Amino acid sequence: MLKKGLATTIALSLVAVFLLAAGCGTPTGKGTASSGGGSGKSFVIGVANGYIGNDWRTQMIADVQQVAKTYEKQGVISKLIVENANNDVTQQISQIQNMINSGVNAIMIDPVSATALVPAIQKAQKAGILVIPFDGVVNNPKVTNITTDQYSWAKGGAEWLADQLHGKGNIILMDGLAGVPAENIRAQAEQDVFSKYPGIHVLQKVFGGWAEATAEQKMTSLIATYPNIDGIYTQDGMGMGIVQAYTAAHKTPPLMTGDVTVGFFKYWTEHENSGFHSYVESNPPGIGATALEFTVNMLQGKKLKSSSIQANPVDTSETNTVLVKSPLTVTDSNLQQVWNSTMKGKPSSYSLDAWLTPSQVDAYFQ
Amino acid sequence: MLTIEGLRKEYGAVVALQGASLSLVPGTIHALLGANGSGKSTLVKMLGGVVRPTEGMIWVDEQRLETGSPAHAIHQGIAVSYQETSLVPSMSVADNLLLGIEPTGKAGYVARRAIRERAAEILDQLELNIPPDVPVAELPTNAQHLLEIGKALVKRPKYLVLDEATAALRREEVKRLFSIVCGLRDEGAAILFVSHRFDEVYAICDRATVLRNGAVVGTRSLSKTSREELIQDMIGQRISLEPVRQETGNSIKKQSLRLKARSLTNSELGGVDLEVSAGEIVGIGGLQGQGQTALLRALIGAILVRGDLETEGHRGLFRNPSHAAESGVRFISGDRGREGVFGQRSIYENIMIGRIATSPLWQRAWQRGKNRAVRDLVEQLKIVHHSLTQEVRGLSGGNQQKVLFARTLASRPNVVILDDPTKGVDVSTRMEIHRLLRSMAGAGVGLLIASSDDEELAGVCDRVLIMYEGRIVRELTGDLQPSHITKASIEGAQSEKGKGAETRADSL
Amino acid sequence: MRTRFSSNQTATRIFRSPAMIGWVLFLLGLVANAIVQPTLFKLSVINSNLGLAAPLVMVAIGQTAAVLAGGIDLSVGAIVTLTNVLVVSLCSFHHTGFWLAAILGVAAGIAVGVVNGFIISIVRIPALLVTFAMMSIINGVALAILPQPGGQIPADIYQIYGNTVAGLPFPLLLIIVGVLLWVVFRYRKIGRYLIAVGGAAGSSRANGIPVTKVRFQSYVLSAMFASLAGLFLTAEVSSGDPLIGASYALNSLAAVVLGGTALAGGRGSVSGSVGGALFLILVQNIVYFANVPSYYQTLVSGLIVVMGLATTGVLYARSGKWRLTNGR
Repeated sequence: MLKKGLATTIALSLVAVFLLAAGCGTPTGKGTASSGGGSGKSFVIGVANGYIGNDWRTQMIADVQQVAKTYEKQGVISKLIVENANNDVTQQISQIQNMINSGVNAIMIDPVSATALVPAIQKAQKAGILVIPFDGVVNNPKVTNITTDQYSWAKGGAEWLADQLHGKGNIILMDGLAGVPAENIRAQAEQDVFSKYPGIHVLQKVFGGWAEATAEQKMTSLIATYPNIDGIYTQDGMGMGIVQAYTAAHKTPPLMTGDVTVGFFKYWTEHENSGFHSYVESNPPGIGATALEFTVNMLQGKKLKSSSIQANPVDTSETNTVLVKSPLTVTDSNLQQVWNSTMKGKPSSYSLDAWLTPSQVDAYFQ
Repeated sequence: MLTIEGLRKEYGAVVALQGASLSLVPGTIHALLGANGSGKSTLVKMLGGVVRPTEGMIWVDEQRLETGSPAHAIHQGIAVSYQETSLVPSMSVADNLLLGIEPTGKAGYVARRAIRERAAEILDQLELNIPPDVPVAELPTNAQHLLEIGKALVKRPKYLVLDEATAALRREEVKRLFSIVCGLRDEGAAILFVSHRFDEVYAICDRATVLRNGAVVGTRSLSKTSREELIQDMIGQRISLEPVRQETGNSIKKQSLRLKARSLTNSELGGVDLEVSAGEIVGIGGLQGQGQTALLRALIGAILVRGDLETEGHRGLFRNPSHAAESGVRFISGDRGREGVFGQRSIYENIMIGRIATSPLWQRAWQRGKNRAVRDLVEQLKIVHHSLTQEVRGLSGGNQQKVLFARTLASRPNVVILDDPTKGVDVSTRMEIHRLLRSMAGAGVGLLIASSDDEELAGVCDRVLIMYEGRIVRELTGDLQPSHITKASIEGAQSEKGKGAETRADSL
Repeated sequence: MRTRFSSNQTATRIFRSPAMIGWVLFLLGLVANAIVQPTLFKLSVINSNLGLAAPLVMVAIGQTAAVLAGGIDLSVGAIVTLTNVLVVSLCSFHHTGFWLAAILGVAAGIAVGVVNGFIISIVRIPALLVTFAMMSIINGVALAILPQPGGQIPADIYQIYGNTVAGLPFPLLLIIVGVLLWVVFRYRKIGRYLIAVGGAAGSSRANGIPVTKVRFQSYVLSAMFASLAGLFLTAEVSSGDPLIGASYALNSLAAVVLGGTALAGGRGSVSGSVGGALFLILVQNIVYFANVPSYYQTLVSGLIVVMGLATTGVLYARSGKWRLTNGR
């Protein structure tokens, strides 16, 4: 009898949970907003984020939500739905399908996979939903990927270094990871820039794996091998490792490109007066917020300039990608201002962040 | 004709069957008789292919039977109704009846309609009014045993083996079974009928083979043999071990009552009354499976039972074994591995757990001060070990049993209930344990011992109660002899048969 | 005896049957889902839900075979992955035709089941250990075959999968095919013997049932359904991913238990497991459409599943009790 009572209790509470869940659901009714979807109306936007397990991604989602809040106040966005998949393709597909079924106007996807989402994306497009992959890209000619322009990102740092060296000197290239798409694009930019300066001699090119510890280790042996390093070109994630290698050798680092983390900025501000100079271009988590700006513009019916759409950096046979230039560059001249306004007091894992303003985004549209 | 030639089965050092031979002649019913542990069940299992003999062979119609293969035995026309049944509880009645011999139709699909029809046919024949699609688990015990028989019958066997098939049946069911069996015999089948009920054996059997201690004593024609002769064959002359009881003598006078049970009744017990006094050792004997296990478990609250119970400082039935232990009633199970020792824990922990189990859950458990007491117990019981922290599973069976005794002693019990206390224990340890039992009784503990070993009961007990079909049918006191106990067990089956069956029928 | 059983108890028996739990949960989930998501019964919505459900249903069917026979198969998720990466890499990197790739992928999955079955039934190592180890091994193999997500199957395959045929969602047809495939085994001797061996191995042996063979076959069946699930999942996602099947091992077990199959074996049904699998898919929908914030969705869906499992467990204990009191 006791058992029977228990079974009934559990069954009833199960029903209660369902009804409670149902109760929460009905008043807002995700499906309803889309019915008003015409021109200049309020939009429901879904964000299917493939992974939330690191600081960079967390910052990215927080940026998206911050920008969305402004639009919600203006009545442009009626609702922002954020779903995070745990790097699991099927979970992300299920989330995308739920977004389709609840009738959102647009789905922004930071994809887990460049290929596996294609059927789900096609389903969404069939249902008349705008699909914007961002940060990562999807191999499908019919979508518009929004991603940071890695070529121009790398080019900026390389040009700054060449310029500071007046086209003459010995340099080290500290690259990321051989074979990875982003590395290939950046390496191309580096080569394109430095080959223009016959006076610049590349002592050695090493791969630091975008990891601080690896970079420090590689740099330590480079310092011992080459007494005559005039400049260092490094990608992101490794600047602090290089600095530490020099600190351990009781030396001041030469001219070098830097890193977006709070840790590197702290060193830079503290050693600016003792002759340390650097250059940082952000590869910002703000790309999500930038992508949201693009999405809103496209929902409002604006068309991208044909010059805005470029080759897919991963699969260059497809022309489906907006390459966003980095919105913020830091040099000695604006270091103090950036440090004081955005970096100071943030946790050491915080990355320099920025996203395109509405007017900057406008420039990409007709 | 089915011929068994020199079947032998060894389990390690134990010989269960030492070269048994017999023949089943078509058109006859052959009884297989024997006391507890004489090897009947082992023989039956070899016929069914469940147990592979160490030596010997079985011939069926001049063909050698592939031993250890139930499928082959069935193929050769041997069908066995096992004492402990071979049903699958979660499957339906019909599916069980044709398990393993399902008729298949086109494309290899099981012909479910045919199964239902065949099942209904057999259920009709057995006059069992149950729908064929109920799971067997939901049936009462007697119906399950009838199904076990039905499962053998449905195979239309040339050789039918019935192992204690009538034990769980009511009178009219037995009658019905006999008419079916006799019908089979008349059609030319040979039947091996294993039973302890002499009435039934004489009613339908032509010949009887008696087994004793795993060996065939002889095969007799029943028309020329009296019951007394059969009983004599079964008991034989046994070598009696030095009786332990005489050592300490019967000096302990009956003192206060330690345990008093009245009309314990459940599906296996038919109203058992029982008293154990301080300093007394009471034995429970009888043929195997007459409710001894159920009685012990009912006393400690391990199974559901109705009735009344009284111990020192407590009145009423125990809710569960832990409740019994709190009142000083301790149980030592016959299944040492599963219900006795914690094999992977130390000797120390195994002994202390009995004390700790009855103290509050949050009380600090392993007090250092107890070390001394445990060491004393281990020495007193002469447990062979090298360290108190060694794992119990590394000890011999006898020493493991002693650890259980030490645990029980450490908890200072009023009553100790034991199930087969010397099962799988060598002879010298057995003597030690018997001495220990007497000394416990000498200290005023009341002991209740169930054993399938009549020598043990005779050697150690003050009185022995004989159980038959869930009731106590006889009480033996005074100068106990193993043969008396065996005889009473077998005869209990005779004198009480009619009455016992009637009572059970009523209680159902 | 004579009057104890009457025919109308057949009806009660159906309601007490363990499979009912799975379907009752499914119906409850369906009602709750329909309340929070009014568009649930639109064809396209049904279609997309079934597209995700079909692989889980298939894995759950296979898992039921292993569990019914008294075992467990933790390697099903890895088999799903193996089939996925094999089919995709054969298609996109070795220019194999899709159907040939599909056959090879399923065959590889079945081969894993053969190894599982051999080690468990003949070498006699506990299923939990064998299939757990096999899970790691096969996941490793999958990573070696396709280290990074990618590749592509022909577009017409995944377009069919997401479409309707004769007005019915294609994944629904696949689920029906899967269930029919199970029926092929269920109503042969093997289907009964799975239950018999899981319910009472000793009794089964005494009745001449080849216990070892049945155990062996249960793992082959489990692997076969898992690799078909891998094939369906490949059609759903159109590309390969060496981590894609990770969630299926535990989800399939949850579906099996929710469907009223006893983990101890011998009792249960595939239809219950199908109900359980569909329930699990619905729970995902419910938490989404009930506006549960993304961070709490895992928690809430976990709670709902636990309550479903508790209901199953308690109902079980109840049916056991009925049996205990029956004797008197």
